[in-house]
Amino acid sequence: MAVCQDFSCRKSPPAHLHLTYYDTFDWRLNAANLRLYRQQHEQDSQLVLESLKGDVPPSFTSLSTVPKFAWELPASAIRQYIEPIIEMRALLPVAEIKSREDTLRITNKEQKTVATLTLQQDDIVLTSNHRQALPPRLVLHAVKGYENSYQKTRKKLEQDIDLTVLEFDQLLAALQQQGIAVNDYSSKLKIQLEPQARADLASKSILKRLYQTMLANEAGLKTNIDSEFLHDYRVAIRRTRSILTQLKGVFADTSAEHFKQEFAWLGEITGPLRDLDVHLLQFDSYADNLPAAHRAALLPLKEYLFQVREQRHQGLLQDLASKRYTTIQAEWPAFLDKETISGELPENAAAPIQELAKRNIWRSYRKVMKQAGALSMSSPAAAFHELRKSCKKLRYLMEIFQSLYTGNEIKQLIKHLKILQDNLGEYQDLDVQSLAIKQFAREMEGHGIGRSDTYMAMGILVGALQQKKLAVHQEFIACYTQFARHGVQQGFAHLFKPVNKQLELSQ
Amino acid sequence: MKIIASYNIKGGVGKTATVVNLGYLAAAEGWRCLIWDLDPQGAASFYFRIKPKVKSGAKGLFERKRELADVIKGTDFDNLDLIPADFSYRNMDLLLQDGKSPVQRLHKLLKPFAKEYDYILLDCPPSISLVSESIFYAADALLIPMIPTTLSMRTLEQFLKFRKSHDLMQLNIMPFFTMVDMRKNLHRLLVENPPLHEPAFLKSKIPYASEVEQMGIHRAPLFSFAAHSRGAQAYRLLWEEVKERLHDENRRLG
Repeated sequence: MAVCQDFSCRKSPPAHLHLTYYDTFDWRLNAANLRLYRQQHEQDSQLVLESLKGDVPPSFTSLSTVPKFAWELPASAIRQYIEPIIEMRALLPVAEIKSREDTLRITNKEQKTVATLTLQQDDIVLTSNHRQALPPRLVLHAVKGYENSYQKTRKKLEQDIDLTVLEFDQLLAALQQQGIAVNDYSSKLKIQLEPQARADLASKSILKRLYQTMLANEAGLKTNIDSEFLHDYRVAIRRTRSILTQLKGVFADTSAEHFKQEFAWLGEITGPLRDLDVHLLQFDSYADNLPAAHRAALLPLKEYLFQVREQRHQGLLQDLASKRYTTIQAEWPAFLDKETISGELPENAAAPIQELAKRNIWRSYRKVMKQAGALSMSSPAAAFHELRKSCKKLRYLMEIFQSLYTGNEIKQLIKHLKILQDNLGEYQDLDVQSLAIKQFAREMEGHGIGRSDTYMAMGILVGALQQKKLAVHQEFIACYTQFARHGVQQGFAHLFKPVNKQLELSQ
Repeated sequence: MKIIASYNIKGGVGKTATVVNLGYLAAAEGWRCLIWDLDPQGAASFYFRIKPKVKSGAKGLFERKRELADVIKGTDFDNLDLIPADFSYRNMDLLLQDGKSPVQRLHKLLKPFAKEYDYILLDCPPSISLVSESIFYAADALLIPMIPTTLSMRTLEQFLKFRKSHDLMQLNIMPFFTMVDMRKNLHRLLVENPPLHEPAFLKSKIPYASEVEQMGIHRAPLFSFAAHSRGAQAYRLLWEEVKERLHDENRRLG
């Protein structure tokens, strides 16, 4: 090869590699400009993490099988780096490539490798016996600190052999061959609404998108891939319910009422499983609440939670195979696709969506302010729970209709609301969790699971959660004050207050 | 990021072999490692076939005319980089003396690498000087390879006295035996009855083995040409023990 006339080269034996790329269902690694793949070569197998932006040096770690979750990876730089990015999401294989590599190591006088030049021939594995070949490529790799050698080799290749530089992403090429679009799923509701669109049509377009989200997550929640399939599925249900219950007069009463009940049922049957997922996701922080000597004693609780989760998952599978669910799956898309006949329009169906959104968000905001204003620190927990529910409804409406508002103002208001909502949420979660743990202790005792030190650890945990609950409750005033301050109130009024009311005020 | 230094007042005790082989093992496990060959003799650089030359020399680095990141060289092994030695390092003491807070300057140079590297291994020159003090200040752990002989023990005692008089009692010290030949009475005696309880000797010991010497012929870490040898196995055990000690230390510090 021409390069070898000018540089000292050492040819490595051809390598037959099997690469498997991984990402999460919602493409978190791709969103962070990362590529994670397992590279198998003969008996060796290693996991490689590369940054597309080159801001993180590539990392390698030897391992034979890629675990489902980041926390199951061996302690390594890769684990440290990706764990906070993918969190509780499972690593899923997204593309497979069989590759032949013929590598020339370009070396200096000391026989030190200063660059590598690899002829790479990739086959995308489409099915077990169907492959698609990609055009062969020459890949020139630089070695840190030897950039001059890299540049010289590159110049040689460009000038003497007339090769051109190509930006190439092996994963994207493989996905394209499989007809998969990267970032084809996001849990965020990204939909651009036209402010003047008819309320019923605009609402249906959102509901359709939410239904697609439910369908996209159904397989994953049925096969138990990770907790977030159920979570995203439930968020889509709750958003759907928000539209059906809060946008009054948009759909015929009978249809709206029927589907409201059906989606409430879906919320009910998925709730208990989600509760257990939350316990399991928080298990490490539960253990952190305990003195070190008691932590190990909590493990039987974890086993019990897994056991109950399995039972509840089986129950959910039965519900999702029921006639009632099949009927929803037939009726709901039919309702969403059905054209409304002009003569029979409910009163708000033809109203511009922005007007309706504005009116509802304003009403929902007023309710939150009224409820919050009536609270004192000695109010019963139920009153705080009611406020939390109202905040949630307001948040859903604001998120659903976010695209009707340009600029950053709505995002800022959501942030303020989120601070209040998080406080109320944490307060209630801690309450529910400590009650649930007491209940688990009774159940475990009834089934003869666990030892006395387990019950003692659970007791300490309940105490710690209740203390934390009190501390969170103390922060309520500060969270509410930031939400109720004049600037935020003005922001809500500016975006959502109906014009006639603003006029009344200014006169 | 953890900084581990391989140090002994005496030369020829296996400091460089320790850094090169432990660096290789940490990198092979999946940690991003950087070795800094601080010894002007440049043995670690030699083992990785990297020229012992740093543009602008030690002066350029300490006076920040050249960034440390710009002189890092990739080795032929994944996850493992090296800052080469330079003959000018022999004057490092004088350079450190010239600046403010001389003992802290080395640490200051290394601190920005916390995001890029998980382990930094320092191959130290055999002396007890201001450079050594800067290393003691920067390091999370100090590995002290020692041949089991009377003179070695004497140098360890000298070092321990120095530690006491220089307020370095917090330094995590890990002495261990190298070039051990159990056929020799003295070696056997010292290895079986390590003379110190505090700091405790590591249990791992590196045998006197020809394959370790051959690193100079292969110019590579032991594992790339004798992965299953006795020496390689000993370095594996040493690495496990070092990690365990670091972990215990972390727990102790809470």
